[in-house]
Amino acid sequence: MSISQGEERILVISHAHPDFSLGGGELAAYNLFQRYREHPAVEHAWFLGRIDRGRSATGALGLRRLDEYLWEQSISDWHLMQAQHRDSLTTRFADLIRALRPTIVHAHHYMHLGLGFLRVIKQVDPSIRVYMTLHEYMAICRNNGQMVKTDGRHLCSRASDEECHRCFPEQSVEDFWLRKHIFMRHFDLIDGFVSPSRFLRQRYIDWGIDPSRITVIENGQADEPVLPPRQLEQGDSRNRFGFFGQLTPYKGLHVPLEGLLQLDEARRRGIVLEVHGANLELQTPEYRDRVQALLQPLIEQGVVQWMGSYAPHELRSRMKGVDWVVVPSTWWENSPMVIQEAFLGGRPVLVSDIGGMAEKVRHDVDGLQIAVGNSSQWARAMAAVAASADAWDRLRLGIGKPMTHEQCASAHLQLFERRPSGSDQVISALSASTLTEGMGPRRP
Amino acid sequence: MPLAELVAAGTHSRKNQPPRAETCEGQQHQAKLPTEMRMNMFDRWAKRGRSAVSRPLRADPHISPVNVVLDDGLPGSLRIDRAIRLGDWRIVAGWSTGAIELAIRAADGGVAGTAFATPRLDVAAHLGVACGDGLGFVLVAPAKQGEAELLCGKAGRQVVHAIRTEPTALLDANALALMMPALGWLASRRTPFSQEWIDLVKAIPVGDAPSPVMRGMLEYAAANGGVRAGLASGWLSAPESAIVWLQDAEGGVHGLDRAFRMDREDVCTALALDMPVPLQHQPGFCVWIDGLTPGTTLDLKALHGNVIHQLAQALVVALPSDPVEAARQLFSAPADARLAERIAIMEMPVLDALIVADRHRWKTVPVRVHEVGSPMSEPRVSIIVPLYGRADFVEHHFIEFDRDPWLKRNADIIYVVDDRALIERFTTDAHMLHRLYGIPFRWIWGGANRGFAGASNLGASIATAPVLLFMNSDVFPQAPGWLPPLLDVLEQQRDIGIVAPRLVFADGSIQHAGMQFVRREELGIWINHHPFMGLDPSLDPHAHLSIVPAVTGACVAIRREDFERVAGWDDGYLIGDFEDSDLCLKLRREGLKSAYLPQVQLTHLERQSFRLLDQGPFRSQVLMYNALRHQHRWQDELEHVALESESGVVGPGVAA
Repeated sequence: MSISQGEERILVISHAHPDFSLGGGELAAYNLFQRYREHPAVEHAWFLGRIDRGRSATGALGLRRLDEYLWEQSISDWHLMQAQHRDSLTTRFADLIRALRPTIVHAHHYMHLGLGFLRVIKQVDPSIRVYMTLHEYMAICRNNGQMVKTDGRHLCSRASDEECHRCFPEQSVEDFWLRKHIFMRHFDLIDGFVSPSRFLRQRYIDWGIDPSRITVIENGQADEPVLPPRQLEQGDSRNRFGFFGQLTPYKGLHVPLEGLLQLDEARRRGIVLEVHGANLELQTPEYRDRVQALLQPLIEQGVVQWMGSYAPHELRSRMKGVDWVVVPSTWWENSPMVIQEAFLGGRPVLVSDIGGMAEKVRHDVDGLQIAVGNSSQWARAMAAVAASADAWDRLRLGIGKPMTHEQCASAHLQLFERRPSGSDQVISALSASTLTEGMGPRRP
Repeated sequence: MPLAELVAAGTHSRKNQPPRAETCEGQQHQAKLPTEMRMNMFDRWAKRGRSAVSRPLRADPHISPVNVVLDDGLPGSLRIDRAIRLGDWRIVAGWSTGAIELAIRAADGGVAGTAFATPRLDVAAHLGVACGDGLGFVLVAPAKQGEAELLCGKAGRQVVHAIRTEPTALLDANALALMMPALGWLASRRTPFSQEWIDLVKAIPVGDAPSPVMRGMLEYAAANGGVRAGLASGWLSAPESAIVWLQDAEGGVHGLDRAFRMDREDVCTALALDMPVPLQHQPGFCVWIDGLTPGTTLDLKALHGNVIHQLAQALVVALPSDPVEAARQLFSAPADARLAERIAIMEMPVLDALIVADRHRWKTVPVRVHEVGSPMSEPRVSIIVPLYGRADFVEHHFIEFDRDPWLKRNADIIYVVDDRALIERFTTDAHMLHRLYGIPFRWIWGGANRGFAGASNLGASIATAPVLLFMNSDVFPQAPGWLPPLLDVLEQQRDIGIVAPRLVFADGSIQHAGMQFVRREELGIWINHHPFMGLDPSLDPHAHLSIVPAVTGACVAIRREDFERVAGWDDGYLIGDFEDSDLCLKLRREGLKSAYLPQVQLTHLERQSFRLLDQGPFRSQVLMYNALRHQHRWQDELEHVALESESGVVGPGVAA
C-alpha cells in the first residue's frame, strides 16, 4: 500500500485537552495528533480540545498554541448527548472547519462535545472523512457508559430500551428509543470507527453498528525500553504490587483490600500493595468511608503503602518500584492505559477476568485473570505469585511490546486511506485482526 | 294581564305594599301553615238556582266584617281580606268567626268553590280567642265572565256580597301568605312544568315545616357563566305523588325527569333510620341545567300536599370555560358503572356547549405564522405536525427528513405549536434547527391550545400542497422514501380518500395496521380497535394496500380538496380521540374509502405526549365522553362498517 505524500489534512477533535485533563482518551488523541503532524502522509494536523472553564459553555474558540485550539463546550442534555452551546456549532465551529479545510476529522469521543458537530462537518463539506475512536460505552449505556447497572453491583451485558428504562425509571422506554435514534443517526455520518479493544468493538456491534465499520487499533505507547526489574534485597521476593488509577468504585481497589484483610496474617505480611491513586475525596461518603476503613489497618500493618496521586509522565518511574500491576476494575474497561504502560515497563498484570482487561492480559502468559469482584481469590492469587520463585520471571517473558504511537498513527492512516468518504466500500481485508496483529499481546 | 306578568308584578310589589291594618295581619299566621283543608263542592247549590238565595247584604265585607249565619245557626262575622283573579281562577281569602260553608256564584248563575280553612292567629288575637285554627278561609273557583258573588251558609244560603277583585298587580306577599293552600291546590291541579304551573310555583312561598316524607340534598351545582349552563347532583327521596324540581335564583324551573338516577347506598343507610316511609328507588341524581349562573343559588323544591317544600339549597360554583378543566371538575362527580349513560345525560350537554364556545373563541385569537428558511414553491405534500408538551421530537424528525432527498425537494413542512409553554423555546430552537439541518419549514401558533384536531386544522389552513400528510409529533420515519408510495395511492386510486402507513412501537411491534370499530357492551360504547397491536409486523395479514374500516390519525395522507370538502378534522372532541375515525366516516359519506399501506412503515412512540396529561380515571372518562360523541354522530355508520368488516367487504388485499 502507498500513502500519497502530504495529502491529508487531519483535524483531531477531543473531548478534552491533556494540558487540563489527563484521561486516557484525550492523551491517546493528543499523542495521535502529534504523530499525525510528523507523518509524511499528512500535510497538516490540528488539535481541537474541548475545555471547561467552570462556567456555562460560551461556545468560544481559542488558540492554545500553534495548531491547537480550545473550544468551550459542554453538554446540556446527557440523555440525548446534546451540546450546551449549539449555536456555536453552525457559527464558530463551522467557520473553523471551513478555514482549516481538513480532509479527515478524527474525533475522539462525543462526550462533552455533543453529537451535533458531526453533522456540521458533513454540512460544511460532505467529502470530509470523519472517523471516531470509541473510548467507552457511553452511546450504549446511559450510566456514564459503564455498562454497569445503576445499582452499582451488577454488570450489564446488553442495552435495550426496556432494560435501560429499568436503570433510569424517570426516562421512559420511548425516551431510550429517542436516545438511540439520535446516536445512531449521527453515527451514520461517521465513515469509520476505531476501537482500542475487540471487546468494545463487539459491544458496539451488538448494539447495532455494522461490524465492517469498526476497526480495532490499540492505543499507542511511547517507544521506551523495558524497565529494569526491581532490585531485590536479601530474602526479598517479587511481592510488591501497584495499583494505579482513580479511586472510583468501578476501579475496584476495595476488592484486593478486602481480600488482603481476609488472609491470615503471615501470608498478608508477605505482600506489599502500593496504592497510587487519586480522587478518593471526590467519591461518595459511603465509598470513601468503606475504602478508608479497609486501608487503615493494612497501612498500619505495612501491607499497603499509600503513594498518592501521580501525573501520567510519572507513571513509568513509579512502576519501577513494583513487580506487579493490579487492575481489579469491577466494570468492563476498554483498553486500560495502565495495562499498556505495565507491559511497556515489563511488569506482569493481575486483572479482573472481564471485558477489555481479559482481552489484553493473557492468563498465565503475561499476567493473571482473577474473578471480578472476588476479593479472596484476588488475595490468594497475590499471595501465590508473591511466594512463587519463578512466576514473575515466567510471566514477564510472556509480555509482548505494545504498539508505539508511530505504529498507531500509521495504522490509522492506513484505515483512512482505505475507506474513502461516502463510499459503501468495506475494507474486509483490513480486518481488526490484521490491523492489530503483531501490535500487541493477544490472547491465544 | 298574563299570569306570568301578574306573578312578576306581585312579586315585585311585595316590598312596596304595607300590611293592611284591617286584616289584623301579624307574624303568627305565617308562622303556622294550614294544617287542615275543607273542600266542598257546591254542585247541589247550583241545582237549586238563584231564587233560593237571599238578597246580598248591604254591608261590604271587603271593608269591615259583616254579620252572617254560621253553620251552627248562630250569628257570626265574616270578612274578605283579599280577592284576586289568578288566570282562570278567582281566589278569595278572609276569615269568619266560626265554620261556614262558602261558594262563589258566577254571573251565569253557576255556583262553585273549593274552600280551605286556614289558621289565623291575627284574627284570634283581634277577637280575643285563644285558637286561630280554622278561622281563616281561602276559597277558589273558576273565574267566569262578569261579576261574581260570595255565597255562604248551609241551608238558608245567603249572598254575602259581590266580590271585588283587586287589580292583579297586588298579588303581594300578604296575599300569597293568605291564599297559600289554595295556590298549592291550584298548582297541584295544573300540568306540572306547564307555563301556568311554573308561574304559579315560582310565586308560591315555600312552607316552613319540613316534610315528614321527603328528604333531599344538593351536593354539587356548577355552571359556566359564558354558556349559562351547568349541572347539579345530589339525592332525593320523595313520594311518587310529589313533584320535584330545581329552581334557580332567577326563578327558572328545571324538572328532574331528565336526570340520571343512581343508587346511593350511603343515603339509603342514613335515611333508613329516619324516614317513616319507604325510600325512593335510586335516590341519587345528576342533571344538567340550561340557564344557570355561577355565584347564585339553586333550590331543590317539591310540591306535595298542596305545599311547596324547599328540600335543599346549593351555591352554584363556577365551571371553567376551558372544556378540559370543566370536564375534570364534572367527571369528579360520583358515578356508578353506567358512566356512559350518565355522561350522555349529564356532562355531554354542558361540555358540548363549552366546546362550541371554546372553538368559537379560537376564531378571535390572533394566529402567527413564522417562516424559517425559504418556503418551498409548489410542494407536492404538506406535512402538518402539531406539537404539544415537548418539542424535542422535531430534531428527530429533521434527522430523518435530512436524509430523504425526495422529501427535501417536495415537502412543505408545518409545525403547529399547540402549547403556549413551548413558544419561547421553539422560537430560538427553530432557527438553530434550521442552521443545523438546513430544512426550511413554517411554524404556526394559534394563540390557544386547540388539541390535535384544532391544531391540525390550523396547520392545514396554511398548507399549500395538494396533499396533506398529518403526523403526530411522536411519529418518525424509519427510512427515506416513505412519502411517494402514500401519495401514489391518492393519485392513482380516486376512490380512496385517506391512506395511512403501518406504524410500529419503539420495540418494533405493530401499533397501527388499520382500525376497526368494535362494540364494548360492558361500557356501552363503540371503540376504535387497533388490530394486531403489539404483534410482530410479520404477522400482519395485510401485505399490500388494503381497504380498512378506518385509519389512525397519527400519520395519514389525504387530498386537500377532500379534506376541505368534509370540513377537516372535527374539533368537537375533548382533548383528542376519535377525530381520525370521524374523518374516515366523513369521507365514507362522500363515497371515499380508507386505506392502509403496510409497505410503508414508521415508528410511533404512541402516547408520549399523553404522558404529560394525567392517567387514570380522567383519561378513561375523556375517552368515554369522546366515544359517546363519536357514536351519537355515527351510530348507523358504525354498525354498517362493523358488519362490512365482519363479512369481508373490507379486509386484506381488497384494494391491492
